[in-house]
This record gives sequence, C-alpha cells and structure tokens, in this order.
Amino acid sequence: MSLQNGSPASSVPGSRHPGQSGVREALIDLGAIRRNIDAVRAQTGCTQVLADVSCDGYGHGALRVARAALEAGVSGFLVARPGEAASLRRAGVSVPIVAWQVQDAAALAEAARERVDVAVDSVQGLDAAARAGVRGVHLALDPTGGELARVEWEALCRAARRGVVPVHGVLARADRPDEASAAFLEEALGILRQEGLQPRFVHLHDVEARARMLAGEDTVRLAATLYGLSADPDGDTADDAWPEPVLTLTAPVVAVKDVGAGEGISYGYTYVTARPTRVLLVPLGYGDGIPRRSGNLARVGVRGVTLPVAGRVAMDALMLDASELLDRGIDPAVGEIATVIGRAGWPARRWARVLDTTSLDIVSRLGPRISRVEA
Amino acid sequence: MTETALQIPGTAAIIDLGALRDNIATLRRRVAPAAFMVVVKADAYGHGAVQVARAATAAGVRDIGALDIPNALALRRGGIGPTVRILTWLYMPRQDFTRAVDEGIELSASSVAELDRIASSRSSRTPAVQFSIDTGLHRDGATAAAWPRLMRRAAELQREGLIAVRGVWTHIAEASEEEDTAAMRRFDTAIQVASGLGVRFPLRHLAASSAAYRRADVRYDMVRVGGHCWGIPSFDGVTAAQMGLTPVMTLVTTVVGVVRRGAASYARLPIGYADGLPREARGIVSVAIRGRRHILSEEIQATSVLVPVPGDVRPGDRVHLFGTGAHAEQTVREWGDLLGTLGDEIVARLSPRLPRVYLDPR
Repeated sequence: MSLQNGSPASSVPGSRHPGQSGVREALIDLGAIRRNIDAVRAQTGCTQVLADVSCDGYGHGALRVARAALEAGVSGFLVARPGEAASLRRAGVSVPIVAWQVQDAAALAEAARERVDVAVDSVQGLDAAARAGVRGVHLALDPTGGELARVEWEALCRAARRGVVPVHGVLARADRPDEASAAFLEEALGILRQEGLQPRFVHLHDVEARARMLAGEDTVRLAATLYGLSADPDGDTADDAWPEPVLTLTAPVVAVKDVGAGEGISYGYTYVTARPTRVLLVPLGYGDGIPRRSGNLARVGVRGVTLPVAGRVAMDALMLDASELLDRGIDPAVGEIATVIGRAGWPARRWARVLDTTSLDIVSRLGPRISRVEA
Repeated sequence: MTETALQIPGTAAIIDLGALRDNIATLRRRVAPAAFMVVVKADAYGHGAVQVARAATAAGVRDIGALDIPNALALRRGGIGPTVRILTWLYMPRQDFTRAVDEGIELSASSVAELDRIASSRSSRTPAVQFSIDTGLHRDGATAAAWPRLMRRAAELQREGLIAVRGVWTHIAEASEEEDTAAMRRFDTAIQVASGLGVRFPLRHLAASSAAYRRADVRYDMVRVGGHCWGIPSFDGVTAAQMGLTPVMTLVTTVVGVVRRGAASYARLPIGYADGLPREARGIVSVAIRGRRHILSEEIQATSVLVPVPGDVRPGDRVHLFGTGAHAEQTVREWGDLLGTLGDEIVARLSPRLPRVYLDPR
C-alpha cells in the first residue's frame, strides 16, 4: 500500500472508518448523501430532486456526489458554470444539467456542446442562449426583486413563449423567503402559465424555503442540505441530526512534544502553557482551509476528547494542547487520528458558529492537499 | 506582455513572473552573501509551485523549500532538475522515503525515529539529511533535551555511510526581537553540541521572510523566503513598494450582469467564497471598476457577489479585486490588514479551480 498513490478502497461499502489512510483525509459518506435525498423526498412529497454539485460538489468531488445522487434517483443536476458540466457528461451523466451562472458567448457555446441547459434572467440572456444553440433554459427569478423584477419577468415569459429555446425549468432564488416573496413567486408562476409555459422543473432551493413558498410544485433543489450542511448561519444553529453531514476531516498526529509551563506555542506566542503538557502537531493549516482565526478558538478530537487548538494556526499545521488527555491517563502518540470535522470532533456547524460563518463555507474551502476518499 | 493585451475571460488570478523575478533579485541582493531559498509550499501560496520554481531557478536560485514529499516530487516531474536542492520537512507517520531519496530530495529529520526511517529507505542512493532543532516555536524540530541523542545517531549513521549530513535549521516565532535573539543563541548552542559529537553542517539556516529582511545577524548561510517573493510584506508598517517589491498576483473578474433593485444598480461578479473570496470580506474590502473603488457591501455567495455600482458600469467591464494598485485596486496585504489576517492566507486559500494566468514566463 503506497501512500503516494492514495489509499485502497474498502471492500465493503460504508465500512470505512475515518483516518485509515494515514494522511490528511476527507472521508465522503456516499450513503449519507443518499439518505439525505431520501429524507427530503419523504418530507416534501416531491418526486423530482435536483442536486447542486457546483464547485466540485462543494469540496466533496462532483463526480462521486453525482454517482451517489443518481443511485438515489435524482432527476438532474445544477452546476455553476458549463465547464463543470463537461466532466459530468464525460463520466456518462445523461440526465438534465443546468448551469446557472453563464457568462459569455464562449460559456454558452460550451453549454450547447455539452447539452446543458442555462439559466437566463433577461430577454437579452434568452436571445444569447438561443443564438448559441443551447438546448434549453431555466428562467431565473428572484422573488425579492420587487416591481422592476416583475416587469422584466413578464417580458421574459412573453419572449420565451416564442419558443426559440425550450423552457425546461424555473429557477427561483430566494435566500430569505418571506410572505412578500412567496406571494410574488405565486404570481410569477401564474404569469408563466398564462403564457402557456409548463416547464418540467419549477424549483426553489432547500427544503425549508421550498416548504414555505412552493406548495403544489413537484421539484426541490438541494445544495447545502445534500451535504448535511447549511448555506445560512441560522441553519447552523440547529443541533438536530438531520440533514446528515457527509464529510469527515481527519489527519494523523505527526509529532508530539513535551513542553514545560509558561512556554509560548506557535507564531507570536499567542498561547502560553499554564502547566507542563504535551503538544500534538496536526498537519492541517490555513493552506488546507482551516481558517487562520481558528487558533485559540476551535477544538479538535483525539481519542474521544476535543482538545484546544493552541496558538496561531500556521499555513501547514496546527497544534493541540493535550493536557485534557494526560489528565485522563491517556498518552497520545505520533499516528493518533485527529478529527477536525466529524462525530469524533466538532461538526462543521460548530466550526461555523465559532467562526461566524456557515458550514457550507467551511467545507467548500477545504484545500487540495486533503485526499478525498469514499465510505 | 501586459495584462490589457490578454484576453482573460471571467475570473482569474494573473501571476506576473517578471515581477516575481524582480522581487527575488531585490531580496537576494539584500541578504547576500547568504544563499536564498524560495519556499513553494501550499502551491507557492496559491501562485503555482512548479511555475514559481521554474522562474526562480531560471533566475539562478538553487534552493527550493517544498514542505512535503508529494510537492517535492511534483517539482522534479515539473522539470526542477538535480542541480536544484529541494528540501522537505513534513511527513505523514507511514511515509516511505524511497522515491524521495531516489530523486535526491533533501530530507529534514526532527527525531531519531524519523532519521532511522529515512536511513532505511530502499533507495540505492545515500539520503541527504538536514536536521531541525526547536528553538522555541515548539512546532517542528527536536527539543534541546532530545538533540544530543539525535546527533549521536546522526554521527553513527554518517560514519556508516548511511546518510549524508547537509544542514541544520530552525523556525523562529517572531514574537519579539529579544525572543528571536534568544532562539539564535539556542541555535548556536545546538550547533556546538553537534560539533562536540562529531556532526558538522555545511549549511545553517534560521530566518524566514520577515527576520531575513529586517536583521542582518539572522541570515547565517541561507534564508528561506516565501511571501516576500510574491510581494506580500510580512511585517507591519511597510508597503511592498517601500521594500522595493511588487505584488505578483492580481485577482480579476468580469461584470456578467447589472441588476436593478429599486433605484440602485448592482454589478454581478462571477466570484464567490468557493473560489476563495472570504465571506467575512463583506463590507470591508473594495473592488475597482473603471478606476473607482466599490466596497463589497452585499453578501458573498458561493460563486457570485453583487456590488453596488453607478450607472455607467456594464457587463463585460473588467474588475480588479486585489493587485499592484495600478487600476486603483487594493493590494492583498491591505486586504489582510482589513480582515485581521495575513495576505498569505488570502492567496493560499484561493480555489485550485480558479484559473491562473502567467505573464512573462520567458
């Protein structure tokens, strides 16, 4: 087993435990992806699920997430840019894909080549898509947009009715759903139907937003929820078990050092030991996506105890004060598995709360030195 | 070739290799006669390890700091040949050293266990080893208490022809000038202890970017420099220009749409936090469009952000996020100061998917 070639796949799906690789590791639980999708279908009654695998599956790996999602019966995928869809198509993904952030003529041409739908929010956008030969569009609507957005929406629906490009969906973006936007959305769908348009996918992201705003529609779009995370700080305050986080981040302890009392740890000596202790070196730092400001704030799990991150997080490593393990008579050594995100450490949502951000932000920005492996 | 002559679609990090070479030349002159190691860990802080190493070695640099073996092997594969010394110092516990020794990578050892694993590689070549001493940072390196045992083992393996001793080094904490001076004394003591045990080092290095620039007495035989090579100052109270350096990376994007909400106009930019634009930058940093700065006042989404703009901004307009200041943009060092972090964190955490465009590769 050569470390440089990555770790061997486990022979029984779902049996792999975090940290077996002996390297910096993000273990992706594909079963959790499937369970999250099944739970959403059960909760919403929707039969059509669109899975957002933008940004390489928000750090999880778009291809493996797509594979698991297809096994769970999703109807289609979202990506941010057409280039992301190309690798899905090459991997044999044939279900509908929509690229929702399309930039210019080159991107539209790529969308046409890869048989990818694009999101358009204006008549000019629709015309450009038509000229490029794109196979279909999703009309993009911002229900918080107000009167001007309503006028533009009417013009867009009228233009779409000409049928130059088939309308396959309505993509509604409402990060803060409220009464006014729910009413707007209902009205907008009325306008759409008056123009005789009946797209297959009318979708609003996320389960909660959808439940409040889109009664009677059969499609739900999953982004953060798919990964057991939240794109909204409020979503990270809940402590319930669902949705189920998909990613576990671990690394081996690569060095241990016994230091005396009153010793400064890491750059600038922002942490000083109160008593003699053992310091554990973990090879994850801000170059791997652990925010630099986590120092003296966050905790990492070792042998069932979460230890404080001592001192500044460096580019390639962080240090843990193992006093609380020594107090329990536990003797941590090189090779121990340190759980940075996961059941044996802090969940991503706790990191998000402590760092005043969202769990999707934390996981999306985990860096390339971390090997992604599948459970 | 200038930036304006390039067609850069969408979002990209433009890396000016001419500025990189100029910065390296300026820094080398400053620390001479000490040798100069360019540190390319974390993909050269987001600038591209192989590209940076090629430009540096083409300009005469003979020492590269790679951090770990995967990075070092990628550099050899990328054409950084055997006349360039590549040093690594961070290993996973089950690391196999055979390929690294085959490729003539220099391996740092902090413990007898590490040294023995290096010495027992299955390579037919003799491992080139440097030794790391902890002088107070408490991260890498053998403690002063563990150092004599490590040196006895080193002497033994050297006598048996199983290792070639190449150097000794340490990292300093830079908490204060006095503490760095104390670290230097510990370093000197460790070298004396080693000498007494029969181990001598052809190369001694202690200082990284900050100390190397500011103090002549820390430079020993070589200094290790990362951030200053790409024009990011590592200490307070000075700009890159005042140091004679130019920021190497310019982060740019393009306005893809203009959205109206009531009376206000917003430009939609196709860059977000999954690309490496920090969410916490909201309301704090500015971007430059048409020579004017605009604060990023709106929420930064995963792949896009809206920025309030006046009526003359159009789809297709170039946007400068950070760079040299030539287009009214802030520098990444300013972004770091405003966000309470280092410019190093911002560049190193840009997404690997964000395209890099290289100017002046020569």
